[in-house]
Amino acid sequence: MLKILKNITVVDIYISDMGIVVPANGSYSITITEAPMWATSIDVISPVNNGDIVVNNGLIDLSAIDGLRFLQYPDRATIQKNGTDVTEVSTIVNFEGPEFTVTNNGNGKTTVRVDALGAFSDTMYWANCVCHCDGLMFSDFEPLVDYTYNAIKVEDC
Amino acid sequence: MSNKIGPVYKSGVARSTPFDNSSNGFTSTEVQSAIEELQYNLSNSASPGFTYGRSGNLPQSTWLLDDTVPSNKSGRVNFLNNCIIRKCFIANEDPTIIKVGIYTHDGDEVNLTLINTVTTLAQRTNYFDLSVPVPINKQIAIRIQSDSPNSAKNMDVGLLLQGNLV
Repeated sequence: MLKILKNITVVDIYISDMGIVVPANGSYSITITEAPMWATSIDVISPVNNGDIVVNNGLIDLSAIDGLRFLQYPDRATIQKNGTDVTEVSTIVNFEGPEFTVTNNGNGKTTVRVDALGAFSDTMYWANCVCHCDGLMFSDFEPLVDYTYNAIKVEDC
Repeated sequence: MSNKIGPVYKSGVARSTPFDNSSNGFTSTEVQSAIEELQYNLSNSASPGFTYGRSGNLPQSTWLLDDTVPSNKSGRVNFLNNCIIRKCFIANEDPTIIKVGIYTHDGDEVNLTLINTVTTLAQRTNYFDLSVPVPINKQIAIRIQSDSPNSAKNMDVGLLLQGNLV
């Protein structure tokens, strides 16, 4: 999964604790091996928050808050709905990279649950992804408290 | 004419034989102590080599990692007295000209000082003979210089140091 930092300013931006300069009007691709390092970077927060650096997931530019989450949490592995891998196009309209779109056809609330080692918790978490339900971004996710999760479960409630 | 008589040695061959130290860096003036000086230097000299690297496409101004840590934050500590950087060896995935800077600092870029630069040929393997002193207790960091003609890719830079343990 790509993690790209785009400098949308006309000056170089130095991310000191990563030892990287994101060139003016340029970009920097984070390698898989360095992703855990970037998850703990302090110096990347400010330029992302103020919009000088935009995080891109290989598909789209993310908002500042989603971009930071994307940097700070590792990639998950799978998405399931009601215990099975999500394959229903009507449910998951798009799932690529860190973004997926959930359409629940108006049949109540859709929840996204995060799996840790196969046991789905009952708590909803924001899980290193950008989630949209019927075109609206989920807003009722609790903060991710443990980034050892490796799967996401999608349910219609 | 002096009547002064020199010391008498039990087995005085080495100790009574003069040693010319004018052109070799020794302090000894006779063979016995010169041998002892040599033995001391051999047992206390060190020539460690360290490498820095970073994967991916590396734009200008990128700091290489010392193990897994950006070397501008925590570089390789020089623990040698009279330390000299003797060799610098560079591998880059692409055969492009890269300008590399060797820096010292006190951690977290404090007192960051550029002590030398090397510029590679447009080839994947390069090495350089250097004679660059490094103060003890300084951290050594490696950076792709901001004025490097090209960015680098999957780069490794090694340094061979030479100095004394005591």
